[in-house]
Amino acid sequence: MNGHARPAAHGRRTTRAERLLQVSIAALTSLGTLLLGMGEREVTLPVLAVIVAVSSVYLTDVKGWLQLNTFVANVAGIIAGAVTVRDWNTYAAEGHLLALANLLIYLQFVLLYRKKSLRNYWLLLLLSLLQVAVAAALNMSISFGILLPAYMLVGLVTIALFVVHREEAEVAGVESKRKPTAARRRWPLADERSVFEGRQAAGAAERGLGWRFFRHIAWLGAATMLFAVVWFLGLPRPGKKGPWRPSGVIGYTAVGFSESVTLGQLGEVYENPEEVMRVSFYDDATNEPYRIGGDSPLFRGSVLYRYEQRHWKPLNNSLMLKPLGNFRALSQQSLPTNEPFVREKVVIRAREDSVLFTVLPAYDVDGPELRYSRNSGQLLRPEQQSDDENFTYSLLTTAFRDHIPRTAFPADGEPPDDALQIPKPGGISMLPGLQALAEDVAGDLKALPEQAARMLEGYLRDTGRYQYSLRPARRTANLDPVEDFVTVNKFGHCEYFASALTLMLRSIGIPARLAIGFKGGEYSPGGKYYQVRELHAHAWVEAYLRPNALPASLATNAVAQQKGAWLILDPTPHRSEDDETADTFGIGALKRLLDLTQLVWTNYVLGMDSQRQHEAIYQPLLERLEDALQSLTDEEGRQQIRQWLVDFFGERLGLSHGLFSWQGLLAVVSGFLLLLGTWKTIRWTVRLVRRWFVRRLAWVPHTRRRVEFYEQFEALLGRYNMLRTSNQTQREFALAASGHLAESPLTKHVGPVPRRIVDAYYRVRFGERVLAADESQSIQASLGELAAALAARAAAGKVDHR
Amino acid sequence: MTLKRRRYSTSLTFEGCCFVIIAGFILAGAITRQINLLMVLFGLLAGAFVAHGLLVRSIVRRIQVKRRLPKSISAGELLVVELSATNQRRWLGAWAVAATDTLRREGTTTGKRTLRPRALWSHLPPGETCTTTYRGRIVQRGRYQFGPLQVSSRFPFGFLRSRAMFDANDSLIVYPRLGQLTAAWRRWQEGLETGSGRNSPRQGLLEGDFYGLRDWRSGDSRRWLHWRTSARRQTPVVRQFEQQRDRGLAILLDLWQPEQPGEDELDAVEIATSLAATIATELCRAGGRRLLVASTGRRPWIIEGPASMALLDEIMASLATSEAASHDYLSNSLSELLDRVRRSTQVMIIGTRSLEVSDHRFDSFRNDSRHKKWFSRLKTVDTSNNSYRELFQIA
Repeated sequence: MNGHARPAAHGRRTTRAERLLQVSIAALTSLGTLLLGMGEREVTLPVLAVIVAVSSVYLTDVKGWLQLNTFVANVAGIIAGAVTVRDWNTYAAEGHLLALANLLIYLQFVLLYRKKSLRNYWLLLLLSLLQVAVAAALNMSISFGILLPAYMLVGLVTIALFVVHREEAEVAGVESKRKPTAARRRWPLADERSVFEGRQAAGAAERGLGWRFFRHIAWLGAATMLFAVVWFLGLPRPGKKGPWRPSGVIGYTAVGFSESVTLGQLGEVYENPEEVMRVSFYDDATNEPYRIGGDSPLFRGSVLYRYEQRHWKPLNNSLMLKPLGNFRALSQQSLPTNEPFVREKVVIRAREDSVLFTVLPAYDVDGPELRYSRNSGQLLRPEQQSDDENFTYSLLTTAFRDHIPRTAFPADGEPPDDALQIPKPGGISMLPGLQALAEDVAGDLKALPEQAARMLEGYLRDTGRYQYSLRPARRTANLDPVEDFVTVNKFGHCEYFASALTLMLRSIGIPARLAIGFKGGEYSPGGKYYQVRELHAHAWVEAYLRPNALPASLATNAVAQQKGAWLILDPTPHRSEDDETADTFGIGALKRLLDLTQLVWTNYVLGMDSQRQHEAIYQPLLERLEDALQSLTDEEGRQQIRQWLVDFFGERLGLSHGLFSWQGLLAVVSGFLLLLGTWKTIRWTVRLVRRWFVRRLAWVPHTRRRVEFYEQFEALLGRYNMLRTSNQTQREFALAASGHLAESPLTKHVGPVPRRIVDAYYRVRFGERVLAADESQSIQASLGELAAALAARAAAGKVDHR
Repeated sequence: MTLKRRRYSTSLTFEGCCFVIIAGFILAGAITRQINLLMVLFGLLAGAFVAHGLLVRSIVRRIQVKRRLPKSISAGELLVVELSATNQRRWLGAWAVAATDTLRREGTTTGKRTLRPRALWSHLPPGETCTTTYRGRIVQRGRYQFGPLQVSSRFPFGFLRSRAMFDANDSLIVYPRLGQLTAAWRRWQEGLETGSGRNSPRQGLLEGDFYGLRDWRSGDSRRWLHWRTSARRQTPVVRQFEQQRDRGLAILLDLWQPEQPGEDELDAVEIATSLAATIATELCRAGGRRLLVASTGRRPWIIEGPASMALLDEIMASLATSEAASHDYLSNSLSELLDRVRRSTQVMIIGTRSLEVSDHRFDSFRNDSRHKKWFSRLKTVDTSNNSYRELFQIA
């Protein structure tokens, strides 16, 4: 006699939950196999999985035309096992994993074509999850990262539908378990069992699976994602075995400024759209915005002289920035007197380094004093200026004539010997092909360095022999990357072009250095500034021209006549017309977005290890926390907060315009609404907390004990069908009970008892009083009296009735 | 009635165990092989688990449940129990909330005789009350206790099941199954009535105590019409009188069974009880007679009174809980019964064993001058064989 039976899904009408489950199982298994197929770099199985999933919904679930029986399913499973064993023996290492993964897919196919029971649904869910687990070990592409949230969402919907379907089936499926018995006894119910089944109102189950259900799961999916992100980023990566990435994943290389250059790295190079700085130009005489025409301006960050074993380094083979000089003093020495100035105003974002960028020549005449490193050619932030915050600086420049950038600027002295350095380990040149080519192209023009430099620049940039590309290039193993670029694989990005030209110039005796910084930017007509991003990072060449070989533009420049000049050469070809078109139609922006996604995926998902975690997550968090704590304890910090508040209310909210301006009114109204909202929220929270406390207190045992006599009272009356309704207070109930008791002479004398008990209850429960011992005894006595009277009345009633 | 909440609990389901094991393997793989994608996957699985854990606990904590059920039914009849649940949350809906009731027959202590019917609310929108039912048949007569009621949910992901237990003290009396009395029964009744009529001439047209009013039936005398009530109800209503000429029926239910009863003995007890219940029902619905029902068995009892629905309730409740015994109480019970019956009362013994008037067990009555007069009209029915089918059919 057991009414709780586990149901079978057979023989019943398919519910809406089950139909939706069948569809979502098909979607889930397809996605799981697709993820696995991407990991295996296999197309056949994912395509087959989609076909099997779709056809199983129609043929097996909807129509019931194709349903493998147990025998056929077992045979198919054995065949799948045999194929797996064969694959296992055929392949080694990773092949074993693939063989097991394929077994999961085969079993999934078999189960999809079986009639679906609760167990089959659950097995399909597990098989799909296991496939994704294997895929996570095999698949490293960003497509996995894009598909995984989709899989997760479908998975959550599927499992929620499975739970709903399971509950419905368990509640409704008892009848199918009843078996007719062969021999019937004389008593017709002797062969029967007491059975029950749950039944809802018509359409109740269907109504539940509407948009609310899916919205609910979507919220849960979002919460799950959030948890996963926090978990993934926050969990310390243990282990010292090596990097936290699958073998074969190459570290991500992004376009962006760095203080040194390394060539020949494998891996795709991506365009990083992070903003670096905003640069605006003004005519110094009129203070009007100054728009640049012609080629994009070059904002130099540093110069590199030494090239050794694929690395470009600053002067003296060191990254040391010292000795540092005062740039303002240097500027005052070389400030030209007879040329129109353009004022360059730069707002640079927080960066890891202190390097500042400018067009050249630049002169520091006012504002905070900048530092300068002659060895690296770097302008640096003032010593007291932190790298962690935005910094604004202003320089004068003569880099433009008639809005067109100049191609040379005066030197501040003779170049160092390293400007002619060519790598020759053991006295053997690493760049024979490059040197020969330079000799071929410009050997005849050694006496005319400017023309020779232009010739080589044009050879690399304009002849079409060399292609600009950010795609990964597998360079010849035993060749220097620059030699390989010039002679074998003639494609690469700007660092290859600039390196090649620098070394070619040096090979024909022209001192040259590699300049790195940014080229151009996105001009904002509204803000009148160039928005420079990391993807605008660029490398170019500066070739030294002696005073006797100055270009025409600097022929009359006094400094140049004395110290020579640097000729700016940019050998990197322009982007193709296709690229320009793509940018015009916004595809460029999409590409940049994809590049950013790829950057995050490769560096912060696949390659997240303890070091990166420390740099990208723990360190910034700790610093922010420290800053916050410091700003609260420090007078300077408090002042900063005050200043921020003044700025916020004055500038952002417009209170500096006065309360009677539209900004002021808007700020006041917004502030009022904000205060009101805050007040309401606090009240709501307090009420919630108080209610929670009250509920907690209601559970405290001693409170329950104190009103035990009242519970006895209610239970006693309840036994005689006098029940307190939910809308009745205790006092109302007592009055009603007294009236009822007064109706019979047998209970009339206990009529006042309910009122007395309830009065005591109110004193205890709400007055928080403790009953005196004699009062407790009196109440207990009253309860006994009441019980006796009620019993007598019931007995008399029974006798009367008979 | 509204059920008082008692306690909560949460436990891992089978699916949850599988899920935890797989997630554990994934985490172990992520750490030992240092694969970040496995760590991402584990994060998603753990996130789903945590979200589920938080949600599933909160779903059942703010649900209030009420149960409605009839006071009594007959064995084998359809029982429909209505459960209504109120989701007291303002924003959070609940799906797939299951209720598992506990239904135990009084007097039985073994757990396997406990019924656990289930019902489901597919969806409980926030702030709303929804109703669901479970229905079924109880095949064994007796008094049943409902409760405690367990409300549980595995929604959304089924890894954990959260339960709230509600105390409940509802009870239900399952009356004996009713059958059909045959034409032979009616003939026996009519024959006795005819016979007794000759020996008990009426004292007048409206003799007897006024008993009540009932609707007019074909054959009723116009003298019995209660004109004022008929005028008020716009339908003929006649007066009923308790006849001084006692046309009552006394039934003695002899519930005997051996120490170790076989299937036949058990069936005989149920058939006997069912026959007594059917006769009592028939007479009480018709009204107008006195009825006395007595039972032997483990707890002997006697109920008598004018046939009415109230009397029927009392008889049925007693029949529902009557149990057979191996001791022979027949003589005592019959003696007590015969002391109580009035003149002209028909006496019927329904037994679960062979009962003949010539039986030596009746010798004392046969020789007793007070009792021997009943023997001419004593009717015995034996349910240990199929002879009862002349009077009574049950499906």
